Amino acid sequence: MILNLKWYEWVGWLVNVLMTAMAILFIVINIMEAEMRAAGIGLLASATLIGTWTWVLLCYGKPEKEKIVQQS
Amino acid sequence: MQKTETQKKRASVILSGSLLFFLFWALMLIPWGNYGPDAYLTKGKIQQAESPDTVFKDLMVPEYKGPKDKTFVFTGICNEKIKVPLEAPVNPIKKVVSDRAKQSEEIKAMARSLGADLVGICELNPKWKFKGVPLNHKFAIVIAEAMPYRFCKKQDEPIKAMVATKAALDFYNQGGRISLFLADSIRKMGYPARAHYESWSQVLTIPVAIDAGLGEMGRNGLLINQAYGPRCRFSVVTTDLPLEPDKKPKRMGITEFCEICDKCARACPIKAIPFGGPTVTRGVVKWQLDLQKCFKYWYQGPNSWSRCLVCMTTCPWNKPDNLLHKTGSFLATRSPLSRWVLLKTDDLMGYGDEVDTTPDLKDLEKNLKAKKEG
Repeated sequence: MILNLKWYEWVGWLVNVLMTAMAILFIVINIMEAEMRAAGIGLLASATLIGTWTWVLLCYGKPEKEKIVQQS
Repeated sequence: MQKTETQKKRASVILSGSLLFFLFWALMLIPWGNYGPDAYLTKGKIQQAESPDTVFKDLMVPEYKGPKDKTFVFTGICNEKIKVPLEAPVNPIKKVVSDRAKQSEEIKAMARSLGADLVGICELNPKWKFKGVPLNHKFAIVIAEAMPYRFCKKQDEPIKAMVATKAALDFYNQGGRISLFLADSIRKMGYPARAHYESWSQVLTIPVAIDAGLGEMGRNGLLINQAYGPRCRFSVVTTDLPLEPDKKPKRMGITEFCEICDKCARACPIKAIPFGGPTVTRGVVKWQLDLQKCFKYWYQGPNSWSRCLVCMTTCPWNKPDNLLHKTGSFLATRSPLSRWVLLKTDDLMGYGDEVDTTPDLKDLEKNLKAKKEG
Protein backbone atom coordinates (compact mmCIF):
# COMPACT_ATOMS: atom_id res chain seq x y z
CA MET A 1 0.00 0.00 0.00
CA ILE A 2 1.54 3.29 -1.10
CA LEU A 3 0.28 6.48 0.57
CA ASN A 4 -2.08 4.29 2.56
CA LEU A 5 -4.12 3.63 -0.61
CA LYS A 6 -5.17 0.24 -1.79
CA TRP A 7 -4.73 -0.67 -5.45
CA TYR A 8 -8.39 -0.19 -6.38
CA GLU A 9 -8.30 3.27 -4.75
CA TRP A 10 -5.44 4.15 -7.08
CA VAL A 11 -7.67 3.21 -10.03
CA GLY A 12 -10.46 5.34 -8.59
CA TRP A 13 -8.18 8.35 -8.16
CA LEU A 14 -6.84 7.91 -11.70
CA VAL A 15 -10.42 8.10 -12.98
CA ASN A 16 -10.93 11.22 -10.84
CA VAL A 17 -7.83 12.90 -12.28
CA LEU A 18 -8.86 12.05 -15.85
CA MET A 19 -12.40 13.36 -15.32
CA THR A 20 -11.10 16.57 -13.75
CA ALA A 21 -8.62 17.16 -16.58
CA MET A 22 -11.31 16.64 -19.23
CA ALA A 23 -13.74 18.93 -17.38
CA ILE A 24 -11.15 21.71 -17.03
CA LEU A 25 -10.28 21.48 -20.74
CA PHE A 26 -13.94 21.54 -21.73
CA ILE A 27 -14.83 24.52 -19.55
CA VAL A 28 -11.72 26.59 -20.36
CA ILE A 29 -12.12 26.14 -24.13
CA ASN A 30 -15.80 27.08 -23.92
CA ILE A 31 -14.96 30.22 -21.95
CA MET A 32 -12.25 31.13 -24.48
CA GLU A 33 -14.80 30.71 -27.28
CA ALA A 34 -17.36 32.79 -25.32
CA GLU A 35 -19.80 29.89 -25.24
CA MET A 36 -20.94 30.62 -21.72
CA ARG A 37 -24.03 28.40 -21.69
CA ALA A 38 -21.94 25.36 -22.62
CA ALA A 39 -19.29 26.33 -20.06
CA GLY A 40 -21.93 26.73 -17.35
CA ILE A 41 -23.61 23.42 -18.08
CA GLY A 42 -20.22 21.72 -18.29
CA LEU A 43 -19.23 23.20 -14.93
CA LEU A 44 -22.46 22.08 -13.27
CA ALA A 45 -22.36 18.56 -14.70
CA SER A 46 -18.68 18.01 -14.00
CA ALA A 47 -18.94 19.44 -10.48
CA THR A 48 -21.78 17.02 -9.71
CA LEU A 49 -20.04 14.01 -11.22
CA ILE A 50 -16.57 14.70 -9.87
CA GLY A 51 -17.96 15.75 -6.51
CA THR A 52 -19.91 12.52 -6.17
CA TRP A 53 -16.95 10.41 -7.23
CA THR A 54 -14.60 12.21 -4.88
CA TRP A 55 -17.05 11.61 -2.00
CA VAL A 56 -17.10 7.90 -2.89
CA LEU A 57 -13.30 7.78 -2.84
CA LEU A 58 -12.92 9.72 0.39
CA CYS A 59 -15.87 8.65 2.47
CA TYR A 60 -17.95 5.79 1.14
CA GLY A 61 -17.55 2.59 3.08
CA LYS A 62 -14.79 3.93 5.29
CA PRO A 63 -15.07 3.51 9.08
CA GLU A 64 -15.80 6.76 10.99
CA LYS A 65 -12.42 6.62 12.82
CA GLU A 66 -10.51 6.50 9.53
CA LYS A 67 -12.53 9.40 8.11
CA ILE A 68 -11.75 11.57 11.15
CA VAL A 69 -8.03 10.70 10.99
CA GLN A 70 -7.93 11.52 7.27
CA GLN A 71 -9.79 14.81 7.66
CA SER A 72 -7.51 15.92 10.50
CA MET B 1 -16.04 -9.40 9.57
CA GLN B 2 -18.20 -6.27 9.14
CA LYS B 3 -15.10 -4.25 8.26
CA THR B 4 -14.16 -6.74 5.56
CA GLU B 5 -17.67 -6.69 4.12
CA THR B 6 -17.69 -2.89 4.09
CA GLN B 7 -14.29 -2.85 2.47
CA LYS B 8 -15.49 -5.34 -0.14
CA LYS B 9 -18.54 -3.16 -0.85
CA ARG B 10 -16.31 -0.10 -1.16
CA ALA B 11 -13.91 -1.91 -3.47
CA SER B 12 -16.75 -3.14 -5.67
CA VAL B 13 -18.29 0.35 -5.95
CA ILE B 14 -14.95 1.96 -6.84
CA LEU B 15 -14.02 -0.78 -9.30
CA SER B 16 -17.46 -0.81 -10.99
CA GLY B 17 -17.41 2.96 -11.32
CA SER B 18 -13.90 2.88 -12.79
CA LEU B 19 -14.80 0.03 -15.11
CA LEU B 20 -17.88 1.92 -16.29
CA PHE B 21 -15.70 4.97 -17.00
CA PHE B 22 -13.15 3.00 -19.08
CA LEU B 23 -15.85 0.97 -20.84
CA PHE B 24 -17.75 4.14 -21.75
CA TRP B 25 -14.64 5.71 -23.31
CA ALA B 26 -13.70 2.47 -25.06
CA LEU B 27 -17.15 2.32 -26.67
CA MET B 28 -16.87 6.01 -27.57
CA LEU B 29 -13.40 5.79 -29.12
CA ILE B 30 -13.15 2.38 -30.76
CA PRO B 31 -14.73 2.58 -34.23
CA TRP B 32 -17.73 0.30 -34.68
CA GLY B 33 -21.28 0.42 -36.06
CA ASN B 34 -20.68 2.36 -39.30
CA TYR B 35 -22.00 1.19 -42.64
CA GLY B 36 -19.75 -0.58 -45.15
CA PRO B 37 -16.94 1.09 -47.13
CA ASP B 38 -19.18 2.59 -49.85
CA ALA B 39 -20.04 6.06 -48.63
CA TYR B 40 -22.94 6.35 -50.99
CA LEU B 41 -25.76 3.85 -50.64
CA THR B 42 -27.60 2.73 -53.72
CA LYS B 43 -30.52 0.36 -54.07
CA GLY B 44 -31.49 -1.08 -57.41
CA LYS B 45 -30.77 0.64 -60.69
CA ILE B 46 -29.59 4.26 -60.54
CA GLN B 47 -31.56 6.50 -62.90
CA GLN B 48 -30.24 9.73 -64.28
CA ALA B 49 -31.80 12.99 -63.16
CA GLU B 50 -33.87 14.99 -65.64
CA SER B 51 -32.08 17.40 -67.95
CA PRO B 52 -30.82 20.67 -66.42
CA ASP B 53 -33.34 22.69 -68.48
CA THR B 54 -36.18 20.82 -66.77
CA VAL B 55 -34.61 20.81 -63.30
CA PHE B 56 -33.48 24.42 -63.28
CA LYS B 57 -36.48 25.85 -65.15
CA ASP B 58 -38.46 26.57 -61.98
CA LEU B 59 -35.37 27.04 -59.85
CA MET B 60 -33.68 29.70 -61.97
CA VAL B 61 -33.51 33.22 -60.64
CA PRO B 62 -34.43 35.49 -63.56
CA GLU B 63 -32.02 38.24 -62.66
CA TYR B 64 -29.06 35.80 -62.54
CA LYS B 65 -29.29 34.17 -65.95
CA GLY B 66 -25.59 34.67 -66.64
CA PRO B 67 -23.81 35.69 -69.85
CA LYS B 68 -25.49 34.61 -73.10
CA ASP B 69 -22.15 33.88 -74.78
CA LYS B 70 -21.12 31.72 -71.79
CA THR B 71 -18.01 33.78 -71.22
CA PHE B 72 -17.48 34.90 -67.66
CA VAL B 73 -15.61 38.09 -66.87
CA PHE B 74 -13.52 38.49 -63.73
CA THR B 75 -11.57 41.48 -62.48
CA GLY B 76 -7.82 41.01 -62.03
CA ILE B 77 -5.62 42.63 -59.37
CA CYS B 78 -4.84 45.57 -61.70
CA ASN B 79 -8.52 46.00 -62.42
CA GLU B 80 -8.10 44.33 -65.80
CA LYS B 81 -10.92 42.22 -67.21
CA ILE B 82 -10.15 38.52 -67.49
CA LYS B 83 -12.50 36.56 -69.75
CA VAL B 84 -12.91 32.86 -69.12
CA PRO B 85 -15.20 30.87 -71.39
CA LEU B 86 -17.34 28.01 -70.10
CA GLU B 87 -16.59 26.00 -73.23
CA ALA B 88 -13.68 26.59 -75.59
CA PRO B 89 -11.53 24.74 -78.13
CA VAL B 90 -8.80 22.53 -76.74
CA ASN B 91 -5.10 23.24 -77.38
CA PRO B 92 -4.02 20.92 -80.22
CA ILE B 93 -0.63 20.39 -78.50
CA LYS B 94 -1.20 17.78 -75.79
CA LYS B 95 0.86 17.66 -72.62
CA VAL B 96 2.38 14.22 -72.11
CA VAL B 97 1.34 12.83 -68.75
CA SER B 98 3.70 10.07 -67.67
CA ASP B 99 2.92 10.14 -63.95
CA ARG B 100 -0.81 10.31 -63.22
CA ALA B 101 -0.33 10.62 -59.47
CA LYS B 102 1.99 13.60 -59.91
CA GLN B 103 -0.43 15.19 -62.40
CA SER B 104 -3.27 14.76 -59.89
CA GLU B 105 -1.19 16.46 -57.20
CA GLU B 106 -0.40 19.34 -59.55
CA ILE B 107 -4.08 19.81 -60.36
CA LYS B 108 -4.96 19.82 -56.67
CA ALA B 109 -2.18 22.32 -55.94
CA MET B 110 -3.51 24.52 -58.74
CA ALA B 111 -7.03 24.36 -57.35
CA ARG B 112 -5.80 25.19 -53.84
CA SER B 113 -3.74 28.11 -55.10
CA LEU B 114 -6.91 29.43 -56.76
CA GLY B 115 -8.60 29.28 -53.36
CA ALA B 116 -10.19 25.85 -53.02
CA ASP B 117 -10.54 24.55 -49.46
CA LEU B 118 -10.94 20.89 -50.40
CA VAL B 119 -10.16 19.12 -53.68
CA GLY B 120 -11.00 15.55 -54.63
CA ILE B 121 -10.62 13.52 -57.82
CA CYS B 122 -12.76 10.59 -58.93
CA GLU B 123 -13.84 8.78 -62.06
CA LEU B 124 -17.02 10.33 -63.39
CA ASN B 125 -19.96 7.97 -62.99
CA PRO B 126 -22.15 8.49 -66.10
CA LYS B 127 -25.24 8.05 -63.90
CA TRP B 128 -24.51 11.37 -62.22
CA LYS B 129 -24.88 13.27 -65.49
CA PHE B 130 -28.21 14.88 -66.27
CA LYS B 131 -30.29 13.15 -68.95
CA GLY B 132 -29.49 14.03 -72.52
CA VAL B 133 -26.20 15.75 -71.68
CA PRO B 134 -23.46 15.04 -74.25
CA LEU B 135 -20.63 14.78 -71.71
CA ASN B 136 -18.09 11.99 -72.11
CA HIS B 137 -15.30 13.02 -69.77
CA LYS B 138 -13.59 10.35 -67.76
CA PHE B 139 -12.60 12.16 -64.57
CA ALA B 140 -14.13 14.69 -62.23
CA ILE B 141 -12.23 17.17 -60.07
CA VAL B 142 -14.44 18.35 -57.22
CA ILE B 143 -13.73 21.70 -55.59
CA ALA B 144 -15.19 22.66 -52.23
CA GLU B 145 -15.39 26.23 -50.97
CA ALA B 146 -16.13 26.36 -47.26
CA MET B 147 -18.09 29.26 -45.83
CA PRO B 148 -16.65 30.56 -42.55
CA TYR B 149 -18.62 29.63 -39.44
CA ARG B 150 -19.34 33.28 -38.64
CA PHE B 151 -21.67 33.44 -41.67
CA CYS B 152 -23.53 30.27 -40.68
CA LYS B 153 -24.87 31.10 -37.25
CA LYS B 154 -27.50 33.33 -35.69
CA GLN B 155 -26.69 36.94 -36.55
CA ASP B 156 -27.40 39.59 -33.93
CA GLU B 157 -27.93 42.46 -36.37
CA PRO B 158 -29.89 42.60 -39.63
CA ILE B 159 -26.95 44.04 -41.55
CA LYS B 160 -24.76 41.13 -40.45
CA ALA B 161 -27.49 38.74 -41.58
CA MET B 162 -27.49 40.49 -44.97
CA VAL B 163 -23.72 40.10 -45.28
CA ALA B 164 -23.90 36.46 -44.21
CA THR B 165 -26.45 35.41 -46.76
CA LYS B 166 -24.81 37.40 -49.54
CA ALA B 167 -21.68 35.47 -48.64
CA ALA B 168 -23.60 32.24 -49.10
CA LEU B 169 -24.15 33.15 -52.75
CA ASP B 170 -20.65 34.57 -53.16
CA PHE B 171 -19.09 31.25 -52.21
CA TYR B 172 -20.95 29.59 -55.07
CA ASN B 173 -19.42 32.21 -57.35
CA GLN B 174 -15.97 31.69 -55.91
CA GLY B 175 -16.23 27.96 -56.53
CA GLY B 176 -17.40 28.72 -60.03
CA ARG B 177 -14.44 31.03 -60.62
CA ILE B 178 -11.99 28.34 -59.47
CA SER B 179 -13.59 25.67 -61.65
CA LEU B 180 -13.68 27.96 -64.70
CA PHE B 181 -9.99 28.85 -64.38
CA LEU B 182 -9.05 25.23 -63.73
CA ALA B 183 -10.99 23.96 -66.73
CA ASP B 184 -9.43 26.65 -68.91
CA SER B 185 -5.93 25.64 -67.72
CA ILE B 186 -6.60 21.99 -68.51
CA ARG B 187 -7.84 22.88 -72.00
CA LYS B 188 -4.56 24.74 -72.55
CA MET B 189 -2.75 21.50 -71.60
CA GLY B 190 -4.49 19.88 -74.59
CA TYR B 191 -7.27 17.97 -72.86
CA PRO B 192 -11.01 18.67 -72.97
CA ALA B 193 -12.43 20.05 -69.75
CA ARG B 194 -15.59 21.78 -68.59
CA ALA B 195 -16.59 23.58 -65.41
CA HIS B 196 -19.88 22.70 -63.67
CA TYR B 197 -21.41 24.96 -61.04
CA GLU B 198 -24.83 26.36 -60.13
CA SER B 199 -27.20 26.29 -63.08
CA TRP B 200 -24.29 25.74 -65.52
CA SER B 201 -23.79 22.25 -64.20
CA GLN B 202 -24.35 19.19 -66.37
CA VAL B 203 -23.70 16.79 -63.47
CA LEU B 204 -25.13 16.32 -60.00
CA THR B 205 -22.36 17.82 -57.86
CA ILE B 206 -23.23 16.13 -54.58
CA PRO B 207 -22.93 12.46 -55.64
CA VAL B 208 -19.78 13.31 -57.58
CA ALA B 209 -18.36 14.96 -54.45
CA ILE B 210 -19.24 11.84 -52.43
CA ASP B 211 -17.42 9.68 -54.98
CA ALA B 212 -14.41 11.99 -54.64
CA GLY B 213 -14.43 11.36 -50.89
CA LEU B 214 -15.25 14.90 -49.81
CA GLY B 215 -18.08 13.99 -47.48
CA GLU B 216 -21.30 12.10 -46.90
CA MET B 217 -24.95 12.76 -47.56
CA GLY B 218 -26.88 14.59 -44.88
CA ARG B 219 -30.58 14.70 -44.10
CA ASN B 220 -30.71 18.34 -45.18
CA GLY B 221 -29.62 17.42 -48.71
CA LEU B 222 -26.20 18.98 -48.20
CA LEU B 223 -22.89 17.20 -48.27
CA ILE B 224 -21.45 17.10 -44.79
CA ASN B 225 -17.79 16.55 -44.00
CA GLN B 226 -15.82 16.34 -40.78
CA ALA B 227 -13.76 19.49 -41.36
CA TYR B 228 -16.41 22.01 -42.42
CA GLY B 229 -19.75 20.37 -41.69
CA PRO B 230 -22.47 21.36 -44.17
CA ARG B 231 -20.85 24.70 -45.01
CA CYS B 232 -19.23 23.71 -48.31
CA ARG B 233 -20.23 24.91 -51.75
CA PHE B 234 -19.19 22.55 -54.52
CA SER B 235 -18.21 22.91 -58.14
CA VAL B 236 -16.88 20.28 -60.51
CA VAL B 237 -14.47 20.17 -63.44
CA THR B 238 -14.88 17.16 -65.71
CA THR B 239 -11.98 16.29 -67.94
CA ASP B 240 -10.12 13.65 -69.94
CA LEU B 241 -6.75 14.68 -68.49
CA PRO B 242 -5.15 11.44 -67.21
CA LEU B 243 -5.50 11.56 -63.44
CA GLU B 244 -5.33 9.15 -60.53
CA PRO B 245 -8.61 9.04 -58.61
CA ASP B 246 -8.37 9.46 -54.84
CA LYS B 247 -8.77 6.40 -52.66
CA LYS B 248 -12.20 6.38 -51.05
CA PRO B 249 -11.85 7.35 -47.41
CA LYS B 250 -13.32 5.32 -44.55
CA ARG B 251 -16.89 6.11 -43.62
CA MET B 252 -17.34 8.89 -41.12
CA GLY B 253 -20.79 7.79 -40.02
CA ILE B 254 -22.40 11.09 -40.97
CA THR B 255 -25.37 9.47 -42.68
CA GLU B 256 -25.74 7.22 -39.64
CA PHE B 257 -25.72 10.37 -37.47
CA CYS B 258 -28.49 11.92 -39.57
CA GLU B 259 -30.62 8.83 -39.02
CA ILE B 260 -30.85 9.62 -35.30
CA CYS B 261 -30.88 13.41 -35.65
CA ASP B 262 -33.68 15.46 -37.20
CA LYS B 263 -32.72 18.96 -36.07
CA CYS B 264 -32.79 20.39 -39.58
CA ALA B 265 -36.20 18.84 -40.32
CA ARG B 266 -37.61 20.33 -37.11
CA ALA B 267 -36.05 23.74 -37.72
CA CYS B 268 -36.90 24.09 -41.43
CA PRO B 269 -39.40 26.98 -41.60
CA ILE B 270 -41.36 25.46 -44.50
CA LYS B 271 -40.89 21.75 -43.66
CA ALA B 272 -39.12 20.88 -46.89
CA ILE B 273 -36.84 18.35 -45.12
CA PRO B 274 -38.33 14.91 -44.43
CA PHE B 275 -38.44 13.20 -41.03
CA GLY B 276 -37.81 9.49 -40.55
CA GLY B 277 -35.38 7.29 -42.42
CA PRO B 278 -34.01 7.80 -45.94
CA THR B 279 -36.00 6.68 -48.99
CA VAL B 280 -34.96 5.49 -52.44
CA THR B 281 -35.01 8.17 -55.13
CA ARG B 282 -33.87 7.19 -58.62
CA GLY B 283 -32.00 4.22 -57.13
CA VAL B 284 -30.22 6.27 -54.47
CA VAL B 285 -30.87 5.93 -50.73
CA LYS B 286 -31.20 9.49 -49.42
CA TRP B 287 -33.54 12.00 -47.85
CA GLN B 288 -35.45 13.60 -50.70
CA LEU B 289 -36.13 17.27 -50.04
CA ASP B 290 -39.06 19.18 -51.47
CA LEU B 291 -36.86 21.37 -53.68
CA GLN B 292 -39.69 23.49 -55.04
CA LYS B 293 -40.81 24.43 -51.51
CA CYS B 294 -37.25 25.15 -50.43
CA PHE B 295 -36.32 27.30 -53.40
CA LYS B 296 -39.60 29.22 -53.40
CA TYR B 297 -38.95 30.16 -49.77
CA TRP B 298 -35.33 31.07 -50.50
CA TYR B 299 -36.15 33.17 -53.54
CA GLN B 300 -39.50 34.89 -53.23
CA GLY B 301 -39.37 37.16 -56.26
CA PRO B 302 -37.22 39.93 -57.76
CA ASN B 303 -35.01 41.37 -55.00
CA SER B 304 -36.94 39.42 -52.42
CA TRP B 305 -34.90 36.72 -50.73
CA SER B 306 -35.43 34.99 -47.43
CA ARG B 307 -31.77 33.97 -47.69
CA CYS B 308 -32.58 31.02 -45.49
CA LEU B 309 -29.62 29.11 -44.03
CA VAL B 310 -31.57 27.38 -41.28
CA CYS B 311 -30.74 23.77 -42.16
CA MET B 312 -27.06 24.63 -42.34
CA THR B 313 -27.07 26.71 -39.16
CA THR B 314 -28.87 24.18 -37.02
CA CYS B 315 -26.86 21.15 -38.17
CA PRO B 316 -24.79 19.68 -35.30
CA TRP B 317 -21.86 19.29 -37.71
CA ASN B 318 -21.83 23.07 -38.22
CA LYS B 319 -19.37 24.13 -35.53
CA PRO B 320 -16.53 26.64 -35.11
CA ASP B 321 -13.08 25.44 -35.96
CA ASN B 322 -11.53 24.91 -32.53
CA LEU B 323 -10.01 22.04 -30.57
CA LEU B 324 -13.19 21.27 -28.65
CA HIS B 325 -15.40 20.92 -31.69
CA LYS B 326 -12.75 19.13 -33.73
CA THR B 327 -12.64 16.58 -30.91
CA GLY B 328 -16.43 16.39 -30.98
CA SER B 329 -16.46 15.84 -34.76
CA PHE B 330 -13.82 13.15 -34.39
CA LEU B 331 -15.83 11.38 -31.67
CA ALA B 332 -19.02 11.57 -33.70
CA THR B 333 -17.43 9.47 -36.44
CA ARG B 334 -16.52 6.59 -34.10
CA SER B 335 -19.57 4.68 -32.92
CA PRO B 336 -23.36 4.73 -32.41
CA LEU B 337 -22.84 5.50 -28.71
CA SER B 338 -20.60 8.47 -29.43
CA ARG B 339 -23.10 9.79 -31.98
CA TRP B 340 -25.96 9.49 -29.49
CA VAL B 341 -23.97 11.10 -26.66
CA LEU B 342 -22.83 13.98 -28.85
CA LEU B 343 -26.32 14.57 -30.19
CA LYS B 344 -27.74 14.77 -26.67
CA THR B 345 -24.84 17.03 -25.64
CA ASP B 346 -25.57 19.23 -28.63
CA ASP B 347 -29.21 19.54 -27.53
CA LEU B 348 -28.23 20.17 -23.91
CA MET B 349 -25.75 22.89 -24.81
CA GLY B 350 -28.31 24.60 -27.02
CA TYR B 351 -26.19 24.54 -30.17
CA GLY B 352 -28.25 25.22 -33.27
CA ASP B 353 -31.25 26.34 -31.24
CA GLU B 354 -30.89 29.95 -32.29
CA VAL B 355 -31.17 29.47 -36.00
CA ASP B 356 -30.47 32.07 -38.62
CA THR B 357 -33.55 34.12 -39.32
CA THR B 358 -32.43 36.49 -41.99
CA PRO B 359 -34.70 39.35 -42.87
CA ASP B 360 -36.10 40.01 -46.27
CA LEU B 361 -34.21 42.68 -48.20
CA LYS B 362 -37.32 44.88 -48.54
CA ASP B 363 -37.83 44.80 -44.76
CA LEU B 364 -34.20 45.71 -44.20
CA GLU B 365 -34.41 48.68 -46.57
CA LYS B 366 -37.66 49.78 -44.88
CA ASN B 367 -36.10 49.47 -41.42
CA LEU B 368 -32.96 51.37 -42.41
CA LYS B 369 -35.07 54.13 -43.97
CA ALA B 370 -37.26 54.36 -40.84
CA LYS B 371 -34.15 54.51 -38.65
CA LYS B 372 -32.73 57.38 -40.74
CA GLU B 373 -35.98 59.35 -40.62
CA GLY B 374 -36.59 58.53 -36.94
